[in-house]
Amino acid sequence: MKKQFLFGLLSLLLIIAVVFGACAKPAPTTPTTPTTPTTPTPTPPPLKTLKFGAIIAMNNAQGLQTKKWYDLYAKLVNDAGGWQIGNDKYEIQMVIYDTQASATTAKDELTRLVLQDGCKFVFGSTGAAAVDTTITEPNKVMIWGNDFTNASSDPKVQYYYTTGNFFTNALQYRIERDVAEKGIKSYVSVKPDSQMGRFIDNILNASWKLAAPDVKNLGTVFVDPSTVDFGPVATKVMSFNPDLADLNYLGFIPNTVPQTYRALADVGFKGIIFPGIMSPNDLANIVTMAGKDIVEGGEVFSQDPIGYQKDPRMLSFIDAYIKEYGKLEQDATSTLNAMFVLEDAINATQSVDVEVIKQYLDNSKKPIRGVMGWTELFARPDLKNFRTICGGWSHPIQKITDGKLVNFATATLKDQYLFSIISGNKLVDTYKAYWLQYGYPKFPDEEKGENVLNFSDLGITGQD
Amino acid sequence: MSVGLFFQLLANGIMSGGMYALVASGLTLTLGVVKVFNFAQGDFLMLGAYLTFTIVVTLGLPYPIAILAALVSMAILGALIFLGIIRRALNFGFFNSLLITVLLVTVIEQGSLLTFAGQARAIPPVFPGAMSIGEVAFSRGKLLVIGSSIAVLVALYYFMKLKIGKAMLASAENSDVATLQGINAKQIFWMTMAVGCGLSGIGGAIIAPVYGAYTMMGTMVFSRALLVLMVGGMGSMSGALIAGFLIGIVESFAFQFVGYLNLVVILVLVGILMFFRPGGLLGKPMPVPGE
Repeated sequence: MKKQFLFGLLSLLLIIAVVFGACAKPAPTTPTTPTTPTTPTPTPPPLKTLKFGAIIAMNNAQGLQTKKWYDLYAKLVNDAGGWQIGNDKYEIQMVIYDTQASATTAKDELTRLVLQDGCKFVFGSTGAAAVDTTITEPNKVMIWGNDFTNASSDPKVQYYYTTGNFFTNALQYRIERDVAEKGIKSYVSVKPDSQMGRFIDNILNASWKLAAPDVKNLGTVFVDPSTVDFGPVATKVMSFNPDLADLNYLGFIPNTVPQTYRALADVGFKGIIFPGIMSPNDLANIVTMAGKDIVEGGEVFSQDPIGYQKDPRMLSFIDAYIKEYGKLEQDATSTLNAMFVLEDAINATQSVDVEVIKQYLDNSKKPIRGVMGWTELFARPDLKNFRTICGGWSHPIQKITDGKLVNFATATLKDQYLFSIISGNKLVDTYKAYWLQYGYPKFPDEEKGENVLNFSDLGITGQD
Repeated sequence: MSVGLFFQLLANGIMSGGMYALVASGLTLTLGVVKVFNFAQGDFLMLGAYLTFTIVVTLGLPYPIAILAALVSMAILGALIFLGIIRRALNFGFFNSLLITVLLVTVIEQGSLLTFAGQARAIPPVFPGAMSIGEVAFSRGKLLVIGSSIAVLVALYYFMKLKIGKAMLASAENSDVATLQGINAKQIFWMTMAVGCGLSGIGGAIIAPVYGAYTMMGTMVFSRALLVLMVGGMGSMSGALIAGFLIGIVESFAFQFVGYLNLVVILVLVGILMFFRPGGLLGKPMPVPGE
């Protein structure tokens, strides 16, 4: 009864409002001078949507920052009015799912992106190309993955691309060379106990052999990603009595590098520690937990574009990140490398058709600028894959000086490429034959003065 | 294996075992009395660690205040969560309350990720550096962890001798009979939850100067605490203490000799123990939830 009364009252009030509105006299207007009728401005056509999917493990800083970079890219494009591709203008829609570092969840999310959301371009992966491609290949979806194994460069795989994969060893090589010159005689490798950890261990040990053949590999200590206390890890490293502990790639498991440093300090390790990747936050944590002495003089892979990046467009991205999020975090500054490579392909082809873009990418010989250095796709003739599908990227090396990371040198794109070929895998002849048939890759002129390796080191003239 | 290495491995094991025992004690208390399997037990440790960072580093307050704050705030949080959510879920059965705590894990961890942007935080060590006895190196920070963990567990032992502690044990034994004896079981339940979560919170504060604070630390410690629970026996505080140190020591020795397969070694040994002593070392038979 009460409800009916209220309904009736509301209806009556609505009717009264409409009636008053209809009956209301229009406000008097000032007469205007008649003007010449103008051609009505055509309404711009609505923007089309270009969907980019991404699967990211967002239970750590790197993942959270990766999402920020993708969101920022989409925002900047959309705020500028969209992306003109061919005859259409597109707004970017990022569809990002959190994998929580679970391979099962990652596979489910990838399936969702492809089958439910209809994404034709996906960034990130389950970590295993063998899994990703069961979803992306039949659906002809282009995926920019992070599988370091050869499965991602298998010639049978048509739509899988990586921007940081096989051709990323120059950094290690440079640092190893520096370290060998300090007179070390032995090292122990500390790596995550995972498929990628073992693969990386093989690659990096090969680079040690090339850079410092007299330095003995005493063994590898594999660390379970769920390790809480690193005391046993440090004790095991100490039991080998090495001159150096190589922690390269361990940093991909959050918080492991600072914990390992602290544990090594606790057991009195006096050798050199090579951390690989170290963010300013990691360094600050190590200094807090174990003091400055243990890190002083160490050389690390830098993810800091400040003071290194000079390109105005990339600097504008950095500024935009700082403006949007308050500060530049450095755990994921290379996130947009793949995006920029894809962007170049779309701009060059003026198409969003996967096959058209694929055709362009598979034959690209073009370094692409990123927020962190340069990226380029290369072929893998050693795997009989002559399409340019596998990436390398350049970035600075930093030295720890008085507890701070200071830019020191650059691992150039050319060094990354050439070193990865030279690094003890007997690939030089294979690549020489490939270059003769398909041509030599191009490298950024900007990095010329910083190259350590050249084609002339392989007996090839006229290509440097 | 040298004598020095033997004692070093033993020291490593005792140091990590103390941490496992602390978390497992809270878990076994909550499970034994309240009949709630708190999957978020480890996350209270994580919150305690981050709170310690905030108090010591951000606010610049002394470390003992952080310990007290972690204990009290996690106890209050645990009590509120019980009173607000878990108590109602218990009305619908054991598994409902279990699912609630699983959900809590997600909420707490995501909240931590949003607040701290996934960055690990280091807290200045209370006693920096290491000391050596012969060939054995002892981290001063870890010695503090051992000492503090044992102190907390001893304090817990004497707490359980108090009237309220006895009431908790009585409720764990049989809550209906305990009620008939005049014990307010409902009050005991939220108090137990508070104590359990407070234990994890203080555990986080104790280990924070050594391990720092990071989002996934709770889950990692919890996985070890589960093993401690199985080995020590559900509902046994002294079992949790013994098992914590045992698991830590086995983990340490196993890592030295089989590396990353140490967890496999632990699981095999736990399996063998379960075969001969299904209730764990000192476990007591527990009524099946719902009966």
